[in-house]
Amino acid sequence: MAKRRIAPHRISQIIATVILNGYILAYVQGKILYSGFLKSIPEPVLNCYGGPLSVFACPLGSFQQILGQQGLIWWQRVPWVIIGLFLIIGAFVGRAACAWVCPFGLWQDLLYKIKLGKRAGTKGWLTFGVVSGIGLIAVALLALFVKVAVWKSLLFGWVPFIGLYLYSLYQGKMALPERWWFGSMLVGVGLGLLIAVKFDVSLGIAVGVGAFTLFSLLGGSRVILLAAPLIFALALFGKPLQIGPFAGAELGLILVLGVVVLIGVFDLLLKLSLPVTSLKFVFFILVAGILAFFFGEPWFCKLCPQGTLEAGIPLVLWDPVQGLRSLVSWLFYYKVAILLFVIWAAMVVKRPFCRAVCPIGAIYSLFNRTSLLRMKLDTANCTKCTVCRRVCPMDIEPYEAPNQGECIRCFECVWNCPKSSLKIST
Amino acid sequence: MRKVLVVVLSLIGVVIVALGIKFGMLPVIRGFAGQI
Repeated sequence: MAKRRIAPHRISQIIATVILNGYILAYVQGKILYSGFLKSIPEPVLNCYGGPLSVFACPLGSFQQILGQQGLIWWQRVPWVIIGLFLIIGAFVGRAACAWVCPFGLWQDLLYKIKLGKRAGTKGWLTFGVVSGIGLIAVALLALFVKVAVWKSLLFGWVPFIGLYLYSLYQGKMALPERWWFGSMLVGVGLGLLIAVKFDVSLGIAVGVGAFTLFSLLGGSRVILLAAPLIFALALFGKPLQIGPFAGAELGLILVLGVVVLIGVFDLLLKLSLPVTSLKFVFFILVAGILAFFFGEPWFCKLCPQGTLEAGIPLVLWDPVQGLRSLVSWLFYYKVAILLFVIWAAMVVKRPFCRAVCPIGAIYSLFNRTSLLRMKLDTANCTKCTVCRRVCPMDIEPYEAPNQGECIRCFECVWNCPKSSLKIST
Repeated sequence: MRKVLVVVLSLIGVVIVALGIKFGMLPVIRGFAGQI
């Protein structure tokens, strides 16, 4: 079968990205964002509704906001429209929206084409230098542009980034989602962010790096021990804190115990042989669900790299009302750091955010086995040549289970199978 | 059997969306746009 030059799902992704982010009048009218009728309609994929060009509502942001409304009766806090939308789309096409509509999926697909850092060694170091250099300049310029101390942007953006990269080089290969440290990074960043938001920035960084270190140690690595002095240094420079009746050593003990419990949960997940791809269910249930419900804030939005890319950075750079830059705080830099990490990870592995983090992908994946749109494998004809895996944007093996939860129905495997063993089915 | 499930799930979805619209959820969603 002749290989297509541009896959249909790619054309669809580009059109969808333009439609979902097509409010160019924002720049003409000098508005921060569009807030007309279409903003009340949720789209089927992750796309920040805070972006100046965004036309529709992000389903996950709306889901968390509705869930987090305090002081209302229960049925007013159920995101009915969003749940119904997920049910309808999931029932018909499973996870296809991730391949055919999602703008952040498109960015990740394009980033992976850059093919940086897929091998360790000299080339890996060269890549490290190039990526770090470009990122360093970008972050420093951003810091100067919005008049916030450069050291803050470096601290938030590059300490974890460089550490993770060095660690991955030490490991000798780059199959990040299959490795412990990817999970530990998520725990570290997430926990550090939560503590930094609620309590103290220095303590947040210290606990975040601590969680990362401890979890990586459980994974059998020794090189990460190098991070230990950093934790103590950061903890020493942390401001004195008091939370409720707890302060000083007591508070530290409670936080460390919390980290250990969290690590234990992830450790258990891995011992149960659950893949790292299961983490996106944790993000959905814990961050977008429980935290949003009890704290009344969209916690996933505070981590979301998509929002930083299409809303945070454009708004800060453009600043139509001449006042947004003065509102920039450490949270912005933390989000930029997460975005930088995701950008780098997407150059190294296929769609890391979709596979390990995206709560919407987690929901749609539940429907993949029963959805109307599906794939059919002719097992007698299949030679397991692995061409399908090589072209798959999610790096799965369609010849093992064509309708598994991670399949995003892009049909690259169907169009590239030399034996035509995979077919689109209903 | 699978296709019956698809129909049932999508019908439930339509009913839930309709309930949400009836409860006045669309203006609420619009009001939240851009808040993090």
